[in-house]
Amino acid sequence: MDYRMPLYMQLKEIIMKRIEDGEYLPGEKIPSEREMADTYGVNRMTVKNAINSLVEANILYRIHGKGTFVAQKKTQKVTFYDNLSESSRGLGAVIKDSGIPLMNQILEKGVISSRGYLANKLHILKNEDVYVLHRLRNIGTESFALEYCYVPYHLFKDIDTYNFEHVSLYDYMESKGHRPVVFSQRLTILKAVQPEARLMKIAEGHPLYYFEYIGKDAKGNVVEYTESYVRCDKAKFTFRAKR
Amino acid sequence: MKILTLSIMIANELKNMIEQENLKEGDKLPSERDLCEKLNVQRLTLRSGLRILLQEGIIVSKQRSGYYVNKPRVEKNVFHLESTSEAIFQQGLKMKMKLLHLSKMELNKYLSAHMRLPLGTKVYELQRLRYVDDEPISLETTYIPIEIVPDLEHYDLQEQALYVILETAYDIHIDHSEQEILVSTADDFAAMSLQVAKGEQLVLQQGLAYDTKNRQIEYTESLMKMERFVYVN
Repeated sequence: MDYRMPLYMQLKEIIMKRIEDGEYLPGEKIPSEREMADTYGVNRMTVKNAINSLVEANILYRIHGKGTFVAQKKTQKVTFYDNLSESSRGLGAVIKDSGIPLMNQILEKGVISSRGYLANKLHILKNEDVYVLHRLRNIGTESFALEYCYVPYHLFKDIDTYNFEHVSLYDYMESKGHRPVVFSQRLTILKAVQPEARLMKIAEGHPLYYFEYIGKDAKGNVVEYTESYVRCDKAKFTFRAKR
Repeated sequence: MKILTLSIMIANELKNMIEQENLKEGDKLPSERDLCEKLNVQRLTLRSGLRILLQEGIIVSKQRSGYYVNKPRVEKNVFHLESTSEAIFQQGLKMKMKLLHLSKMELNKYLSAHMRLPLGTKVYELQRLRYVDDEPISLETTYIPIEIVPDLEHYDLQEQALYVILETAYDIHIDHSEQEILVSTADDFAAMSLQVAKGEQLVLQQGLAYDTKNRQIEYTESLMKMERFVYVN
């Protein structure tokens, strides 16, 4: 790097080098503009210019009020529900606007007594306890998916002590020896009505993937039933079928 | 229990009732009053549940008459590649194919990228309209390299399944396919063919099928009525 190059270009080089070297990881926050201005003794506008051009190049992204973050590589496909497909068969979703991390927001959680429908889906008796976890999954400030997840409570007695805004549900289930590995899936496409439209902050009639699946663990216990509404403008579903 | 969960729960119980009582296409649901009693809920809650079933296309409402079980969706299997014709046949539905046109063309940039074949590759463009029980449900446009299937126009593409023609006449055996499920809107032609309003949202399925020699054999874009299909494994 030539020291006579404009300062903002040199700053750009520094940031890109650190991303390349893995010092700043995808999804990680980089130092604030003020910190960088202090560190290098440059004007804040100079830092802003450098960051702006990296944001435009989709190497960084900003979240208002939170800071600047490293984007995932553009070529990298971010997949969702991909662990639901056995040996890359079955349905999986690809997030169109990759690079921005998914964030979970819990809408509702707790134990309910199952009625006929959930009892059937989870292969349990009527009135047996079911743990309900309803989450909104966001990309940045926008909704991506709304998930209604149900698990048999008797297998996961301490589930309510975990915070599934940060902890992966499957990691938790795995720690209990009941990670789902075999799935039966069902996908339709429908138009949003209430309450999904309101919760997902989209217009009624907005197209949604409605993805249902039942997961069984390695021993064949039914360990989850999930209904998921995924925005069609944010993801696409793919599958690979054998003749 | 919040109203959010309650409406979903009622919808779920209604689905369960339809399943357990084995209600079929055209069967009438009990009246709102009876359903309220059966599920022990208020009219308003019941309706929020019924709305979810309407949205999912499980039931339809007829004015001043009530709610009826809707037509079954055509099942598309995501594990086993079977032609849609085979799937429909297995479900015992009546299917018909109408050949709209068959012509020769060269791959443009868009199709070349989707078929992973060079620009200018000569292909057949085959457009067909699929009917189930006399209702048009999907508009399917297929591209096949001419080199692989010379003289395709000599075969009966209306009555015979494409994969059967490929196997029997050309000894081409499809091995697997890569499919994407998206949403699109009906343009003038799709709207006219499928008898829907222009701009209506449709499922767009794009699939590239390879044969046992790993050659790209056919690329199909299907515009499908949302409420008539379900993907299952």
